[in-house]
Amino acid sequence: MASIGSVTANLTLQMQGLVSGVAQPLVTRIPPPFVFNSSTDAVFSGYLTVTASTTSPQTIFSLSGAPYASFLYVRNASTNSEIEIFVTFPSSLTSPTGIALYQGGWFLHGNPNVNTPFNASNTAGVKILTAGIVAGSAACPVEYMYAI
Amino acid sequence: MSALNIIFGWQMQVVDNSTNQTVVNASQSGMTLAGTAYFCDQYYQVSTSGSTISLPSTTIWSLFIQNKGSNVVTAGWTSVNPGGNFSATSAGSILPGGVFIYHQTVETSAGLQAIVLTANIATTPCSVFVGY
Repeated sequence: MASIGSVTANLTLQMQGLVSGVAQPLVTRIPPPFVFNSSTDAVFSGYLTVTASTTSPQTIFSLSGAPYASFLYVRNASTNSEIEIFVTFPSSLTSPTGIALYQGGWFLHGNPNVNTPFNASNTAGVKILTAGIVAGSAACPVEYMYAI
Repeated sequence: MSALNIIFGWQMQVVDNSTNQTVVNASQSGMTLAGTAYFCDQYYQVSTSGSTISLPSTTIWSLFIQNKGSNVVTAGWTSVNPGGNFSATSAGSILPGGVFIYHQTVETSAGLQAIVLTANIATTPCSVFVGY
């Protein structure tokens, strides 16, 4: 697969303390940009509706083998307060990992320079992403982006 | 009124090195959690035997971890209300320079508990932020 270039993700964490109704910044964290190596092959993004339950989750993507996704962003794009989704991102091939996202919630998992063969002690890529609805509406929009 | 606003934002750019053009430019900002308390350590020392982060609440809804060392760090957590088919206790690997973020905008459901970081070879510094 041809290299398309580098992926840069700039992240900002800001905190504001509300003192007598006046927002006062307390902490601003701007980590250095995450620059993935030049052998980054592909970037995918999408927006879909999850209708499956967690007992039979819906596959958003599944990679057959290395290289796996070194960058993953998933957001529960619903505005229905009753919706909660569950996603899995097995960082190893044998132990799926899960996390719950309520409406508007998101997570991001990025590792620079991991677009290399993985082994038992260095399995940080994402192979499979699935999602299911824990409770609430029968349909939940999900926004995602991943880089290989 | 909540004492804190915990605000996350991100921007992602993909550059095609052959043409030096930005082929993807996505961002989001202003994702705010009305919070109560937080803990932040820019150089939290993660041990090989496992370091349990002292959370400001049993459940937190905002988490930021960046591996600032040269060893792999495994982050373990317990998801609140993860659904019927999955284990609530999970883990993910954070390589040197890597990052893991979990951020909710409301505290109605979900959230994380019992966050433990473990370095694979030697004590490893990580930037850690947790809030609710």
